Amino acid sequence: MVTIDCHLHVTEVPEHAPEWWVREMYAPWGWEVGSVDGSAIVEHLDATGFDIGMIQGGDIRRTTHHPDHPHDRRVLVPNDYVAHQVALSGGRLYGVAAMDPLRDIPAAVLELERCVKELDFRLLKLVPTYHHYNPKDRRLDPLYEKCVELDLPVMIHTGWTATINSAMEFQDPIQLDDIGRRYRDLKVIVAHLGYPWVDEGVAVVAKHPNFYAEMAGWTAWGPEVLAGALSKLKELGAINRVVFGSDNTDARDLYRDARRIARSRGTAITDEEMAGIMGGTAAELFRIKG
Amino acid sequence: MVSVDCHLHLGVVPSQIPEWWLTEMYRPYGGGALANYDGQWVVDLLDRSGVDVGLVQGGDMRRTTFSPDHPAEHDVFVPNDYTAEQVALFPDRLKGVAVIDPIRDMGAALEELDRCVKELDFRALKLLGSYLHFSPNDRRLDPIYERCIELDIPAHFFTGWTPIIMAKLEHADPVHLDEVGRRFRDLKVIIAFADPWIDQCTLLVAKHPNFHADMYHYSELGPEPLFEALNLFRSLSALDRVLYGSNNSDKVRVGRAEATVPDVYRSVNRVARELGAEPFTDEEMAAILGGSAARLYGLGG
Repeated sequence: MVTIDCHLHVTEVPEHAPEWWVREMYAPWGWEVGSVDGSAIVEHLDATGFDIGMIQGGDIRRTTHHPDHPHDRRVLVPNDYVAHQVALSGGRLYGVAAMDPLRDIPAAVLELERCVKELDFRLLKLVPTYHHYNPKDRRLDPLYEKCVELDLPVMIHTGWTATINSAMEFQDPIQLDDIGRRYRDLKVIVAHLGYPWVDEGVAVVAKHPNFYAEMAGWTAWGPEVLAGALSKLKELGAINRVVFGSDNTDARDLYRDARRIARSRGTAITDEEMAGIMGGTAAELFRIKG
Repeated sequence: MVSVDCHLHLGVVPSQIPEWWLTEMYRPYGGGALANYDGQWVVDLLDRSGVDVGLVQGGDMRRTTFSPDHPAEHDVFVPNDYTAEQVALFPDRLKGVAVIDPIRDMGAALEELDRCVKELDFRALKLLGSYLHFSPNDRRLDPIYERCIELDIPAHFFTGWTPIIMAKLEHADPVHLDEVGRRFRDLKVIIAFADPWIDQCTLLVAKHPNFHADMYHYSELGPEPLFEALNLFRSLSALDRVLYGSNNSDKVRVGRAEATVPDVYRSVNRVARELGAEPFTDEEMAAILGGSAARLYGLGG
């Protein structure tokens, strides 16, 4: 069965993002600041044993600010750059559309249509905490309606980030419940499963049949946390709606250790369920053939 | 290196705090001694715990304190002058923390804060959003934050749960502090950690370079939860912004034995050894137990 990493970022530094911005995001871990293009992502897929990667850019110009770098605020990885990296990848990469809906809603809807119909992108990414809006804000409705019309899943960032100008008040995944009630056909991926609001993330995924859990970046929080979340998702009948995302990290040990911990506590994640997490579920969601 | 307890309360019953209020506060813990917490009591606690210096605070919750059974007894007020008086009795052991009710009278609150720092040599401001019914990101608080930056003192925020019925839990969520951190990047903030938002508190501190953790939440827990917490701070490069605080806690039950709170801190490396994890260095532990606080509060030693 195909394996898919659905949460990967491409960025050229400083062309797409100022160095200070990347450094701030990596500050807690002291990671090296560098560019990541499509070929680097393919190398990452090879190293971590994945067939397919979903890559995303981003447009965070409107809300990026640092008092020490007031004019250095252009965080923009265009969708066309993503499309170009996908085209170079020999079928290993698929595109994820990224936009700032509050910058211009009609333009965002048009851009989404272009990304799907012309560039063959398979997913929309929204980042409310970076863009300072609540995901249930009614101004977003045209975008959600367009996703339903295009049968396109939307991945919504929930949970923490080290970027200082992100707004933590928009990180709690409970804010997605309203979308689930109003757009029952909208496929929603709860990115990062809301850490540290993990119980809330599990709750919305378990509640809404078209919601999916994704734990990208959880190498920072460790296998105990992941084991707890997977166990709860299994207990609540939602383990078949978990998709793998790495956030550019190597999460192989994390999943192996979490599975072992869950088993030792009485929750067995079967091989079939693991295959679903590692790609089967995503292949169906993103219409990717194995 | 000096050791510092950043979280200690003063208060005399019933002249400053009605008995019903403390009874309500201690209700979930099976009741508590209605003790008078004066400077001598605090210094005795510091001695038993082997801690050099304590930051002591009073409180002003007159505006929002109420019990239907005691409608006339609503003055919870431990004035800053009382704190100054107790500090003066033990000038080498105690330092004052200013308390104000900013919503009662903003102009007066600013004057009082100035007076506490410039005349009484207080070293921090304590704010109690849930008790005083304001959200920390309420723009009415902006003059207070600006004055803290000007005076170069930290603002210490109570967050999380309290058994006091009139306290508003919607203002207790530490997530409200994120906006304060975004808008006042030079403001030094101390977050008093409390359930149920412990992880959010940790990540706020990791996110904002001028935020600090008051670890009083762990003062009544054993070494294992404390190790996990410190280990997370270490993995997020924020260990140098962790402060020891006791909240007047004295002894901690660890298994069948009792230990002082600093002893619990000193035993986290036993947990590290049992888990095969990296131990904390002597320098790191010294910083947690006082070095970081000494830097923040401008204490010598």
